[in-house]
Amino acid sequence: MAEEVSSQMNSLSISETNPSSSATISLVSGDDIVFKVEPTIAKEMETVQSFIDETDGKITTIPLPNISSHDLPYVIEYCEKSIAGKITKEFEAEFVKKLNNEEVKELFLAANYLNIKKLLDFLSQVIADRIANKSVEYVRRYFGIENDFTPEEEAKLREELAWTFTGVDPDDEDEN
Amino acid sequence: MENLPSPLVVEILTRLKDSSDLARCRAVSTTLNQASNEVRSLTLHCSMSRYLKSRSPETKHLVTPFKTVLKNLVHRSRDFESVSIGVDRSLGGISFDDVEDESDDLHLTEFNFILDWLPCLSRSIKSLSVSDFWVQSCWRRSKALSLISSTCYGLVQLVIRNAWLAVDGLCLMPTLTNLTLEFVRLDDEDLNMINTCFPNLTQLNLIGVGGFKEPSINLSRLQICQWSVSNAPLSLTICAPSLVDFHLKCIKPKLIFLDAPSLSNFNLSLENTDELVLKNCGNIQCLQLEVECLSLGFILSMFRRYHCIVVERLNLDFVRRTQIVIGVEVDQVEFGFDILLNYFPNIRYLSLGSGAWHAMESSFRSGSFENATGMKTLKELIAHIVVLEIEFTLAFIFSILDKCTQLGDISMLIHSDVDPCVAGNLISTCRSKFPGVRWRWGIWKEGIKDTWVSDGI
Repeated sequence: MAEEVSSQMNSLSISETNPSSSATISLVSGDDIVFKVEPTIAKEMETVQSFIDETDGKITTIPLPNISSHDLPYVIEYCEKSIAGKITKEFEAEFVKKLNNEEVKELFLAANYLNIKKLLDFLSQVIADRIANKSVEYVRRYFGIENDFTPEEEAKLREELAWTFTGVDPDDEDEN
Repeated sequence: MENLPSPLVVEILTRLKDSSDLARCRAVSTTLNQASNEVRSLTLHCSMSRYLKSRSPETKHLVTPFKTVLKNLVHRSRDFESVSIGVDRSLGGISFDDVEDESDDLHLTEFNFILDWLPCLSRSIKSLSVSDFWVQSCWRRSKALSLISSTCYGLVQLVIRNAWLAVDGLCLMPTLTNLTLEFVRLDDEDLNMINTCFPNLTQLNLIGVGGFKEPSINLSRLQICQWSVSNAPLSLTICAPSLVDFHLKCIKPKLIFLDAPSLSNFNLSLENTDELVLKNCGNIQCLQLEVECLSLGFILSMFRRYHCIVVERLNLDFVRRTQIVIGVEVDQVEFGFDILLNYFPNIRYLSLGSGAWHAMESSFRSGSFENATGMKTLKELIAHIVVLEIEFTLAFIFSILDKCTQLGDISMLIHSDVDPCVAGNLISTCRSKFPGVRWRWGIWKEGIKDTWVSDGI
């Protein structure tokens, strides 16, 4: 994965030598890696765009402390496809195939932070599909959340919701 | 993920395709339990396994009745905007004769059942979909439609499947713009109540709706319409000044009367008709025709008579496809390629089904063809072919290319039963004779999606 990131970074920095892209924007990941992108891509990221607008375009280096250099290339890849109008069902299926549950969640938070509506919609659906027809325990593990009901509350809820517990998929331990 | 903001949890929960998944998520944590209240859509479908469990003497008592589940869900949340309930499609395979089901536990258009929960949502609901269980609904006439019309103040979209619907007492629903009725017996033989009570429909789908005599669609705002109807109605009338996209599938009505000045995309499938009136239909640009071979000439002449001459894209195929068996000649009515293109002087794109191609190839064999006006404008051709004798097929293709000087894109789908050597020979001969044409090749077979083998060069 490290190689992949560095090769993507190379391809991004090569574009820097292109004279027409003198106005590139630098996105700085939380672990201080700089990604140079076309200004058009920033338009897909509302958070970045409003930052640029607020400073009248004078500042083109934008720190994104909440996003790691592992996740940022995925976000950029999605935005590039989106700008090219090439978001297809096939692309999305391929895109999500290479992501494990943890990565999907991190990208989901990144999309929320950057305010990328399309990516957020898409990943919400991916997560919904991944927790559909799963047990309560599976969903807890998936989100990494603790059961914070009192035993009485939980017993009452489980009784009320008994009709939903039949026919769920058996838990698969190595999903994550 | 513990600090996942609540709005994001709602985003995810909203996208769960089934409300039983959503309900189960309530038991995960207090955050999810609270977030579940924010979800505005309810989707509940009775699966085959649920149905079988509810019918088996051993498991019967363990299953909460479907209607109880729904009522509980609605009473808990109360402001759903979208409700979709129904039995799974797989239950559609069960017929009344097999089970003689006298119960009504899944009769979802039952008046009293809807009365139990729909009034709670009268102000919030915008979209309602009910797919009933035909075994229980087919012999019970339901007044659900009038109840829905008098209860929901802001309903925009309504879908009802597999039911028998009365229309007496139907109230005006000015907000309703989308209506789909599928496999419904509708007691509105001329569609008068639908036209009157739902005047602002922009999209109407009537799929396999029975009970018509001389139905007439009269809707001034209708833009998209899909209507597939049996051979029962004597005549079909459609007056829709805003209609843009129309799919009509019928068998043998005596009369079709269409008045649709905005219509640009017309998909017509019918075997035959005694009369086809196309009043003010001069804007049709994309025409998809599926007719009986014998009636093609008559139907095309009606298109000419009513000045439907701006057609740029034409898809033509025959209903009840004649089986073309390799090596066996089948008698078929001949219809010349030149005659076809004479009807459409502005045509740019033509797609021919196997029957249509065969009829035209046969016609070519019995004599060459003349210049036609449409030949000067045709740019793209797609054909589903069966190669019976390669020299005739090649001669036909080459004559088309000689006459249609603008034709630069040809896509040939060859039937999968054709000998690969013959197909290969056809492809290479075409390529070498007309290297300037962008050729695409593929394979077709009845009931299977076309497969493309090579893209154009």
